[in-house]
Amino acid sequence: MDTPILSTDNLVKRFGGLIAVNGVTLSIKKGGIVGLIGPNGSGKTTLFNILTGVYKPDSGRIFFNGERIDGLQPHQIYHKGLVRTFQIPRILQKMTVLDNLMMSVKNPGEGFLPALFKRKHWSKFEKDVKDKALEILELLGLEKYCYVPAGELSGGQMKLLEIARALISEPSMILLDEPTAGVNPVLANDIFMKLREIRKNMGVTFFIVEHRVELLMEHVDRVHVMHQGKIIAEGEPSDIINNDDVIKVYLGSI
Amino acid sequence: MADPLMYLLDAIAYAGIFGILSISLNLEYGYTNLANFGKVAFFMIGAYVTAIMSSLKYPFIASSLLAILIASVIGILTSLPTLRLKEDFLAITMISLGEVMKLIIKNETWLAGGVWGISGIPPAIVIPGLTFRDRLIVQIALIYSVLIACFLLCELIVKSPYGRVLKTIREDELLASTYGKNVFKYKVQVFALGSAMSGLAGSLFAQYIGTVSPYMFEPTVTFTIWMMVILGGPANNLGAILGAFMVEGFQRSSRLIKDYFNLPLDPVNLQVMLTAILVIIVVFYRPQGLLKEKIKPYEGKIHKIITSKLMEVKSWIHRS
Repeated sequence: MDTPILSTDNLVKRFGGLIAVNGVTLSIKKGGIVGLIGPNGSGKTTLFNILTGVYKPDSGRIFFNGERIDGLQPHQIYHKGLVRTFQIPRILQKMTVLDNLMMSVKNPGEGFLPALFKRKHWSKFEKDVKDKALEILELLGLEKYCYVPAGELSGGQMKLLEIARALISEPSMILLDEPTAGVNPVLANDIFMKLREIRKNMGVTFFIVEHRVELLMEHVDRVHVMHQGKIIAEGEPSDIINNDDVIKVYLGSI
Repeated sequence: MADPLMYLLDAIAYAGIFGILSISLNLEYGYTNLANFGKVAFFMIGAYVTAIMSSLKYPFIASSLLAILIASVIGILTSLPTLRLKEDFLAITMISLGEVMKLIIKNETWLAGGVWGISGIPPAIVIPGLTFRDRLIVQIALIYSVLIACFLLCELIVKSPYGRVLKTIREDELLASTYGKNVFKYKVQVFALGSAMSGLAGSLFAQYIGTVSPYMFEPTVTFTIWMMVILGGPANNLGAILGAFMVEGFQRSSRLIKDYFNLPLDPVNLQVMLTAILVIIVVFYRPQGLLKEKIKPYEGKIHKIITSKLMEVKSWIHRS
């Protein structure tokens, strides 16, 4: 279990004069739940965008399961087993909640010819995906909305849908961008409990950006702290909470 | 036109041909959000390929198949560089494609008769001894069987996981690619299919009219098809066909006005104004079009019927 699933080597990303990610080197162990904290604008989301191929890094390398993935297109990275969620939920407004979920699973009926000529084959597959989707919706308390256009959900529900979508596609690693922002405390805790359960059952690795530090620290194995595009600290939650630099730039002295 | 029935039959045939075009645009714009403002180019390619092939004495089947092939190949070739463009830039590029095609045909006289066009294209189905009206009815039967085939094809495509991917691309390209969909590939495929259907419509048009000239393929044709889709309801194939009937019917009937009323202005100009007002009213008060997009799951009746029929056919083939 000690091999890293994801590691980066000196990643740099500039936007004009701004260096958003400035030499990030990190490595995440397989099967871990790892947190990423840092003040607003410290480059956390940009780092996620680089890892998932939305941006190309200006320099540096990314390894996923021992393979280099920098320079690949987002859809290629998905097929390697790396999936992310978005901080602001990207919801398919004019599609049902169920379709929003089922979209994310690779389906044999997504090819042009199979869609036309292998209806029987993918219909069966669709049924299985649908059952799984309903199961996840039930868990998140969204099952009664399954045929509602997703644009009619509330903000918090969209957030849940965003997470559900990543879970259902069964990747080997999920990057979660603020999964519990705008979610009530009890449900937020439930989400983290669920993530731990999934990690235990399916061995999925999680890398989580979150501002609810107390909650995050309870559930993660390790934490990375970012500030001005750099990783300034890395370690066990208990060490990070007492780290002077982290207190100065992020946690504040209470 | 002396016989009003002829006028009606002619309108019905036109509506059928434009129905095919509007279904194909619906697939591109309604489902995938590709603003193809160059529909007329592919329509024209289909018509001209059929005209040239029939002047070389090839049967209609061969010429229409070649029309489909060439239209889709040109569709793929134009899509490769242009589909990376954002919506509005794609629209402008495609408008110019239509114009360039027309200029090529006008100037390369050796190819397709230049500004004079090609005439004497025989109809696809020749049954000797029919009256003019009966020939029109045969034409309508041909056009509508193609229209129904295109409709069923599109329904099967959009009501499948493939169609769900198209809608995902329409709503959010970044999300689609995050979840492993090769957005570019899907766009090229849809573009090729839409162009192929437009080529087929052009082919039917050429054999119906019997003559083609560059002046039939002005950008107005593209805008008419767009009107049909927007009025009928984007992302609803029945709506696209309904839109084709509405626009065609509206234009025809407003052209008839001049026979019954003494108007102070040219009825053709009036028709343009009325059509514009119609579009504005629909866009303001019913932006989703006459028939709304169905967001419900796709286990609808039509889908069930088609699937069960397909199963029957399959089992029948296995038995025999």
